Amino acid sequence: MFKHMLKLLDTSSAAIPTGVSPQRKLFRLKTGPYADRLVCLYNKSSSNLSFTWADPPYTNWLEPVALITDSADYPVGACIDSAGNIYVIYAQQTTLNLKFIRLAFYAGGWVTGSPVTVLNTGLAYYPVIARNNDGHLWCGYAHYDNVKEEFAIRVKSSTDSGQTWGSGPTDIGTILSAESSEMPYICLNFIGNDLYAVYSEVRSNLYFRKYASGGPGWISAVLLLAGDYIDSEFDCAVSSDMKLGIAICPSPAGRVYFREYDGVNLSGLIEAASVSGRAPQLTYKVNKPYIFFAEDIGNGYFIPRCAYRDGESFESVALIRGIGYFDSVLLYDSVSQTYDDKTEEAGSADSADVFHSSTAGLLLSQNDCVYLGMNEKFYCLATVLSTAGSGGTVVWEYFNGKAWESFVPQSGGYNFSELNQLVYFWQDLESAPAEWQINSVNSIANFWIRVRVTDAFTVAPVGSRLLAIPRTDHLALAREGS
Amino acid sequence: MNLTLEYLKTNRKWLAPNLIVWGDADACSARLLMTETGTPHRVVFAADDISGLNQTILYSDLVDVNGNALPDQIANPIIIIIPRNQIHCFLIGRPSSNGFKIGKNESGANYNCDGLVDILIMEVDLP
Repeated sequence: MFKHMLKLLDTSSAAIPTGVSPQRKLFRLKTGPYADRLVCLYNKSSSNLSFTWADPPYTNWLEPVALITDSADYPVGACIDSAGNIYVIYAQQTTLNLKFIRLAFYAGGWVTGSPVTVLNTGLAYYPVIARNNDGHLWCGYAHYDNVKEEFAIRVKSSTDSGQTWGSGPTDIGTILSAESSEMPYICLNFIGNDLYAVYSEVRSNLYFRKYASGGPGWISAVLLLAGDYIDSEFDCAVSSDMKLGIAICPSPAGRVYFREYDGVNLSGLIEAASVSGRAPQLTYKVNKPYIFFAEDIGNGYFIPRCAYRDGESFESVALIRGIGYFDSVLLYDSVSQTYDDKTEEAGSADSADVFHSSTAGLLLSQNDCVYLGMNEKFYCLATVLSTAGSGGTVVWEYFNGKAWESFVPQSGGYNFSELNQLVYFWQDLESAPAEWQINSVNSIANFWIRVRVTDAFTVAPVGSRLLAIPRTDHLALAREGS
Repeated sequence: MNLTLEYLKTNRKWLAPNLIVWGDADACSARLLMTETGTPHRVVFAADDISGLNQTILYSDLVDVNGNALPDQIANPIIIIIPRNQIHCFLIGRPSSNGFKIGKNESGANYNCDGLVDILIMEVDLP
């Protein structure tokens, strides 16, 4: 079993650093002396695309390298081949022309090729790229026609490793979708050498079209789902028995859906999880689909989860240990010297229910404490308060095996004076102190963080939720080359 | 000491028939890049394993073809799986002196079917 981990790679000022669901950003080398190496691309800033890589166990990542410095502030698309070469497609800053660049894998590193202009007519958004077994490249993108003032999904191909696309940069590509004033999104997948384009249209309809190798061209669109606000919240993958799977998170539905196409028949719409989700990522292990997504638990916080098929139905599990609801939340009143167990209230969405029964506050007097406990180390605290505290100060402490040791959270001090605050104790799970140990508080053994009042509050904060959950979004699952 | 006699005495074998294999070998490794939104955003890498259904067999749970219970402990066991249906079954990890893990590989028409195997267990403890 692999050790679970969560590691901060970088910070970013870009709008969507790790891309939307149909785009690919993280890749695994399958074979050779660098097998299992992971390489990732992300938008570092509004113009800079960077990449970095690591070998197992993925604790040491290369200092990020700037790959592109003239990118628009829209996420890029990429794919990898079996030799480790990476193909990147992106919209250029200001012009929103579509550009292509190839990273050749050589001697354990990547050599950046020269950019090629794929499209210089109209504006291109949210590009994706795929490569078939013969080395043919296809790209898809939302194309904006300046004259009609409408978007449409278009595709172009290259048979010379990306040096020329279609009939040239002025060729705006083959249109697949209807034209609309709303932004469409596309995902491309090959099954053998047949290309499947799955795309959303007018925000609320999801279709696929197939381009059979050697066939008559694109088949007519097949409706996959008519649902409100699908936008980019879908992903596709291919099973080893050559089925096309589609995972969808329509934002208002409160459901994660799954469908499968076997080349002839389309399965019914299957409910993979009965929760509101976003950023779905789909993969198959043998023929079993696994859908990774971020579950919306309210207040702007999201838990990474996985839904996987188990027999006829789907099971859903939380994904990263150290992210989730606390196993124990105890409030200690130093005057009455009593603990109140508020574990359930701290996880629930009910308002103003996390307070000590003696003080009607989360914290009040000197040496009052909030104890936050999990059976795994954790790295953050999301606080949602109904009443912000004032006048008081707290110290943050963990148990180092001998005594409570104070620390300043990595995100800075916080005295429960803001209604909605995400506190990072450490940079990430990997940075949690090695000497942080399980100890017993009120006869409950956990990894505990103690928040202790050093100066009494004049207005006691009252809590609604206390969670070990960050604002997760834009998942990008590791993909392999073919 | 007669090494050959000792070897023969310790080199015991058992055939345990008709073991149904439901263990799931499809544990999925998740390697994810994610954004934690904020000012600035945080780009994080996360890894975790999604476990399949574990099927752990203890030797003490098995009986051989003659109906005799196997011992609790078998030293340096070697296990050979003899398939009895079309489901591909295999050991997960190395067998221990107490037991072993076994899993099946479902695919195509065999999806959601259990495996059926005979298990030949050999103790190869040399003196």
